[in-house]
Amino acid sequence: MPNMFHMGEYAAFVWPAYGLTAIVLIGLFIISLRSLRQRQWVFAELKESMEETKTARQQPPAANDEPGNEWPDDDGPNSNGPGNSPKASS
Amino acid sequence: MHRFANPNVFLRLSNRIMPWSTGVMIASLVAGLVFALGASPADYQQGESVRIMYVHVPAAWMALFIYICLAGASAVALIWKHPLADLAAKASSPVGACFTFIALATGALWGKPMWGAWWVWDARLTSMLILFFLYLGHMALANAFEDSERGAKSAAILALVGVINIPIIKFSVDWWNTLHQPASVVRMGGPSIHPSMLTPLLLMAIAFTAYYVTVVILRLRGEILARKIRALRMIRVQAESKGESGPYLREI
Repeated sequence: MPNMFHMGEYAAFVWPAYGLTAIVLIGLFIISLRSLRQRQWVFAELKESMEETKTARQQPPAANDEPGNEWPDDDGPNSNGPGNSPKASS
Repeated sequence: MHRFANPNVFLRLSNRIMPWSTGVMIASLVAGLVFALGASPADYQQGESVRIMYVHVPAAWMALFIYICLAGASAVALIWKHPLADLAAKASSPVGACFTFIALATGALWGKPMWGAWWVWDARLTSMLILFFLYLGHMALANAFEDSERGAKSAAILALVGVINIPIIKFSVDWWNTLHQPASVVRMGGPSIHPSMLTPLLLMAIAFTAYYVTVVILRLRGEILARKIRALRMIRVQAESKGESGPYLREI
């Protein structure tokens, strides 16, 4: 293989063509893998938090006195005014 | 076919396919590169620049092949409401867009020394550019709607309308006078290219196909997970709204 890696006068066109192909394909592969890993993580977290909430609710029978404690993060944006918050209503 | 509509069946199948597709991809890529960059001869007219062909041509084949897969998946999604088909279409279009971009960019890098121009408004090049925009349009449309089903439906219709471009690309070199050379591999009467050049071309085509299979499986698994995440969030929101009203809280 005497001419391997020797592209003569066309080196400035051949190598960028191969380099660009490598960058695009490797880049897409990494993006796809990363997004899958991220979704796996989000899914596991969400499932875990929902399982926890479910068991927390099942254990104390009187737990529904204060529903605001069950979903602390999601109450804020949904309440339109002070009268709508679950804590205030209970 | 609906047996594969079950995401769990697909996940089991994809677990079995992945190691093979990755193995085939690496093996054929290594062999293909050895032939493409070294073992194959330089062209008697084009010299070493002919080596660009070994990424340019397989990438262009993939651009067309993936679009046909995309249109097939879109048709299945529209006609049979197969739940994985529109996810497969959504997973395929970025891969197709990348291969089209590679075909266009490496074509420009090959065109400059051979034709003296990076770009000409030639039938083959223009129709490939339209294919690139079709892929981008599909990607944009699939993600444009809050309701993912509406997005998938619009994107599927675009993909099916765009199929008209595929024969235009394939036969553009015969129908119009173009600077681009006519087909020399997939043609009536067999390939007109010497085996020493056909070998790296086919090896790279196998490597790119295996890459497509691998990446589409990765992306499809991501799309299935995204759908599951959305469903879980919906359950959570429903639980929340029931929780606010009080008496239904313990049903969840």
